[in-house]
Amino acid sequence: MEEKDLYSTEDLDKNLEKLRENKEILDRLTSLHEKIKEERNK
Amino acid sequence: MDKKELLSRFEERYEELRAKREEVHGDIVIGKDEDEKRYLAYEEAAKDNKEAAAILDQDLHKMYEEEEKYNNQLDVLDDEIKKLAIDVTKELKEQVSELNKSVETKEKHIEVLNNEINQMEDEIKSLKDSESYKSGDEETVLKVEDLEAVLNAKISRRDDLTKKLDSVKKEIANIDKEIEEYMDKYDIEEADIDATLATGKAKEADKEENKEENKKNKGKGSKFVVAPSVNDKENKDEKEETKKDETKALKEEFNALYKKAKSKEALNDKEYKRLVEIMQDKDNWDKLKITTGVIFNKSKVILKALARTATITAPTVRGAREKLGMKIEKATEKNGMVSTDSIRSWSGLKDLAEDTDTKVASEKLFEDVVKMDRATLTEEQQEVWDNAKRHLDEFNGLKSVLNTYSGVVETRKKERIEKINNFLSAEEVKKLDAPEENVKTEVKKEGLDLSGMVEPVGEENEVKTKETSKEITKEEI
Repeated sequence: MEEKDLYSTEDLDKNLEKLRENKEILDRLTSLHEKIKEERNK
Repeated sequence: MDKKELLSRFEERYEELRAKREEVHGDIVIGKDEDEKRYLAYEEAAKDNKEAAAILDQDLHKMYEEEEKYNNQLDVLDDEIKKLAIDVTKELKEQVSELNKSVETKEKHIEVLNNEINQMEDEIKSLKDSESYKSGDEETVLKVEDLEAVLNAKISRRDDLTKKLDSVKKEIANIDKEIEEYMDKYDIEEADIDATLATGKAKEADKEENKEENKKNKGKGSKFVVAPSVNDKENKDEKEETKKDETKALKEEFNALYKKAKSKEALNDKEYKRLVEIMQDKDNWDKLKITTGVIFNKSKVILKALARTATITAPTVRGAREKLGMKIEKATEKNGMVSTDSIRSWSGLKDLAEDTDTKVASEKLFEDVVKMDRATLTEEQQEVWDNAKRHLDEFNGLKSVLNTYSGVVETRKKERIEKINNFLSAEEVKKLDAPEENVKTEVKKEGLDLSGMVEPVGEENEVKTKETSKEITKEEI
């Protein structure tokens, strides 16, 4: 393995970015779900 | 469609439905204010007038239908949201797992780097110990300098990578924890996620089982080795399975009853009692994953469902409130529920606060207790203080729910009275606008039991209901 590969975190960063994106989507979905729950209970 | 686009659409749809529902919801009148008796009298009078009754009934039904329509659309939207949330959660779980693997690989890289660094350090040390270096041989000195420069660069990169990995690991762990919390907190994916991931988990379990089996066969020939804890484990599994089944059955039963309460169907006495029974048992709150706030909201839905039926009377509502642990009358010796002395003593108070069956949740009493400085109390007294605080919080939550009921939409009520007026004769209207005594007589004559109305216990937070008009058949109209 080349030395630059040992230090590279490019893939890790890319995957982490995808994880963050999905996490944000889940946050918003969950907030929406909660709002609906509250609305239905009104 | 892209997840983000889908999410934006969901958000837009929610806003649209919320606004429409609010428009209809604000029109629905269930409640009471100081003019309630007069209002009820108008409604009673309208019952004798088929046209007025039909208009009122249609009016009310239309509103409920409209509200229900938007409720159903919200449910459909919620289902879509849950589906997407399940997919995203599943994807997140997989991403977390992949990232953890990448982190492990990087950690191995760090090990490789460490080995290289160690080798270089050894090499530099050996060069520095050499005679040529000590005698100042230019070539050796330059070589050492070059090696040191490379070594320092490697150390710096290794440290950067280690630091980076630590922060990534922390972030992944946090996200993973939050995913778990979402699953628990909002009850979105729990059952569904289990089902969605079941196939994957089963496959993994099979793999593990095969691995274990292979290991055993490899190492121990054909001998069967039974772990001593197998039976215990089986029993434990069985118990957990039974518990899961019971919870599932309870959830199904509760959801069916609650769904019925939310719909326009009237709950029969037995169903109503069972629903209240489930909601009263606080152990069930955990099983059903509902918070106190939700309980209050659900109580509201039940009261609303009861108010929708033609048979609702004030005593029924009071009974409902009592059964839901909402009785807030001050406990006295007179009602024979509990002695004043026992209320005043700490131990009596403790029992009282813990005993939900006595339903002697005196607001004033709890307020007095909570006013005390908790820090100055003994351990036992603090326990009582905590219970009193909990009861008071629940009570206040209830009051806010009841307050919503009391918030009768005046405009709507006036509109309905105007509609009734349009169908009543001038004499009838005059009679209805007569002094209160006449109204009372009229109401009693019509069989509406106002005497059983709950006496005001708070200043303005009382919930009271009224009879709604019975459904009018086409022939009658």
